[in-house]
Amino acid sequence: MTNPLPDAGLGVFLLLRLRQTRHQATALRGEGMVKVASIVVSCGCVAVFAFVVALIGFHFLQKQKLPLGGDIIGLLLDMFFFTLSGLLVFSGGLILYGSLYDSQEAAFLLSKPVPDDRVYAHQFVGSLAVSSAAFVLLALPLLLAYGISLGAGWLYYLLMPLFFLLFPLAPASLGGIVCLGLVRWMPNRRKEALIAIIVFVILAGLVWLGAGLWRLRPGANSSDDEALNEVLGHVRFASAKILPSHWTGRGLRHAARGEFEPAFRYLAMLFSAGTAMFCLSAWVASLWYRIGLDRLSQRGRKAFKQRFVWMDRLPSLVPGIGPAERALLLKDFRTFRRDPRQWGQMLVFLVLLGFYFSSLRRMFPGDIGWVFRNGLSLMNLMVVGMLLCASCGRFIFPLISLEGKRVWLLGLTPFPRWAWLRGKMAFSVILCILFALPLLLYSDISLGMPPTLVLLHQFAGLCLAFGLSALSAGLGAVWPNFREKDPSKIAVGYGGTLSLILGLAYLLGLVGLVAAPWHILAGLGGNGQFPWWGWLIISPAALLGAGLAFLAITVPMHLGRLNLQEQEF
Amino acid sequence: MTAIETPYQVQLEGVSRRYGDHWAVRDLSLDLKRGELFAFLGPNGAGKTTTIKMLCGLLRPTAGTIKVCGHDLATDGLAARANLSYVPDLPFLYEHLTGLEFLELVAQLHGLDPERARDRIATVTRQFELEKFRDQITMRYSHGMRQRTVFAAALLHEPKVLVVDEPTVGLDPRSVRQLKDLLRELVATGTTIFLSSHSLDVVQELADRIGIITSGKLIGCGTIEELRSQASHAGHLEDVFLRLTEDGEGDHAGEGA
Repeated sequence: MTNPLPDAGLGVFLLLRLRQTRHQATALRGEGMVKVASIVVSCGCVAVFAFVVALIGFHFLQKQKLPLGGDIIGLLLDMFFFTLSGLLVFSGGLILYGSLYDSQEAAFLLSKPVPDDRVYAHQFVGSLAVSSAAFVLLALPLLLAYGISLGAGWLYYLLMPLFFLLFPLAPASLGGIVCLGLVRWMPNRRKEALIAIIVFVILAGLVWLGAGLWRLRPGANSSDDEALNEVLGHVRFASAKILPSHWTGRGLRHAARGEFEPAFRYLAMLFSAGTAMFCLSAWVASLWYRIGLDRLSQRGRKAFKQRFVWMDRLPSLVPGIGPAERALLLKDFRTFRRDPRQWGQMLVFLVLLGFYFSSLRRMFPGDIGWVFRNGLSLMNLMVVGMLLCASCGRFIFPLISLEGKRVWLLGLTPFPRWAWLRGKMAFSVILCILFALPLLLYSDISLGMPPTLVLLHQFAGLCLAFGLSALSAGLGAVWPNFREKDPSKIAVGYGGTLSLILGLAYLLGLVGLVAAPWHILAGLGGNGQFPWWGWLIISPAALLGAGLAFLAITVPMHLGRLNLQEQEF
Repeated sequence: MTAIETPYQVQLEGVSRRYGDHWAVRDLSLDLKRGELFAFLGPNGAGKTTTIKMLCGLLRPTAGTIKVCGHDLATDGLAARANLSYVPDLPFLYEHLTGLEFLELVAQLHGLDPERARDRIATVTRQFELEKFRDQITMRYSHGMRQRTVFAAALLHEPKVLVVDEPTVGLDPRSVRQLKDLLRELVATGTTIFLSSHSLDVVQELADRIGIITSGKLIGCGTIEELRSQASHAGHLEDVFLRLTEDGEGDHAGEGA
């Protein structure tokens, strides 16, 4: 007599998620209200900042006589959701890869009599929550600002959470199918395949857009309807009627205008497409998941060839560190470059920003006035700074926590723990400099900004690279999490969130001191010129900025050093 | 579901598994009867874990078939896994669940009706002495507490076949003794146990039959007496194991050349 065939329904997994969430919340409360309050305040700060920026943006558009319920704003909303869809496909796929193929939980569930598609569905929900968190944090304040600016009624606010819930389903399911397909068909070359797909998609998009933009008449004026239509024509693909991202934008616009029937129709379409895509991905999982896992296990025997990589030479260029720290630094670089999950998303942002700056160069010099260029230049500095801040929080903050697992090795080496921290900071500074300074230079040259500002922005970029690196590395040692193995989970914990908020505060303070005075004075002048006494404001402010950077470097590193010395593993 | 009548609870027929150009397991055939404790020995990298993963359906054989209670793992995996439990060398527990909640989850995954689940949870809780800590979050468990909880979960649905990988690692002598008693009890009630271990003392004490694998090939299989005779050595299992695996590696080194 054999045991009966069980049928563990989705309710079992739902109960599992609820219980885990409840215990995590209890554990969080047990760690004190300060921590809970810090997380709430931190998230609130980010949301309020995004909300205010969006509100100012919509107010500006209204002043330009652009109807917020009209087609141009609709197209911008479509572009916004289309871009988010693209990011969700990649981030959903990458996170799902870890949950399906590199997780003890998945192996546990697969050894139980549970159908493969249900294991997939369970892991999918978890990865969807993680990959959508940033989307919610970004989109919620923006859409709230949109609703308030437009004077939207209750229907808009009622339907918005439903659109939020359903929108990520289709792109994340597509990411899941891509992930399953890659592992199923190319298990030994999945890293190369992933890179190839990301690069291909980005390049194809850029070539398509670039070709269109290149045909634009340089020097066209923004009041020129024909030129505006040409620009909009090249992004009109985002309004294709078959795209769920378009349904989201369209449905929200109808809801904002109080149009009940079309809003619900788009919501229903989103629901149908999302669930259909999810069912398709679960069906693909029932076919490919276990086979892919099986084929993936073969990769371990593949011979690994050590090749020369330029990045490995970087530690030897860092002055003032000993051989042991250099070895640690080299280890960090090798670990970083061999894990595409670490740098894949950064690469996407880097290329997108590069493309954005290129299009500025092509479109703006003959088009817009000095005031707009001045504002764009300051905004670009903020954007690069925010990316640095997010990257440091995501990749640098967890590094010390991850070393806790290897303390049996590092802890016995004859160099102080302080050296670990300096190594992490040096690693971060090198990456930040490589990322930020060329982008800032390109942005300022594209906008035709004067050399003094270029130098000032380069100085601000250096201060950001050092300050944000020290904040992330130092605070990573102040609030380490030696239990967790997943760096993304360490980054979104209490310490990681607080570090991110402090990083944003530092970014605002530094840009406010180093760059903003120049931009304000040049903006008031109207043509980029300001009287000589302007330097009497700019120079001391920049010095104060340098002082702020000094504090951002020394204080967290000192606190991290103290905590690391006292730390028991 | 139709019960498949078979004298064997586990059948491996000509099972091979290849990783790229490397054969981790080659032409492995085994039949394990009801209530038999089969110990699987071999040096590191010999193919033990690969065999266990194939037996649990986590890997597929490159060639050959594996049946659990008559159900082919390749074509009838769900039914096969419904009759099997696996205790890995690094046991998995959900860190943010209590021990009791983990047991309830496993009972649900195996489709136990609520009443039977309650009875079985009460039984294994007593059996493994989980009362004191079963309402705590498993994150705070010691290695011994984790191991006991994992064993309790593995036996909840009264599996016909129990696969155990390195169960004695990190356990204190009292826990090892309790584990041995447990394995004996299970065998006495008809459970087939597939035990992979480097603890040769435990194996010698408990195993009905022992299989020795090296370089993916089963080089010896039988009772301790049969292995002694094969090795032409009347000593402890450790000496028999070393002699057989040295011979086996020599043979395969020749093959490889």
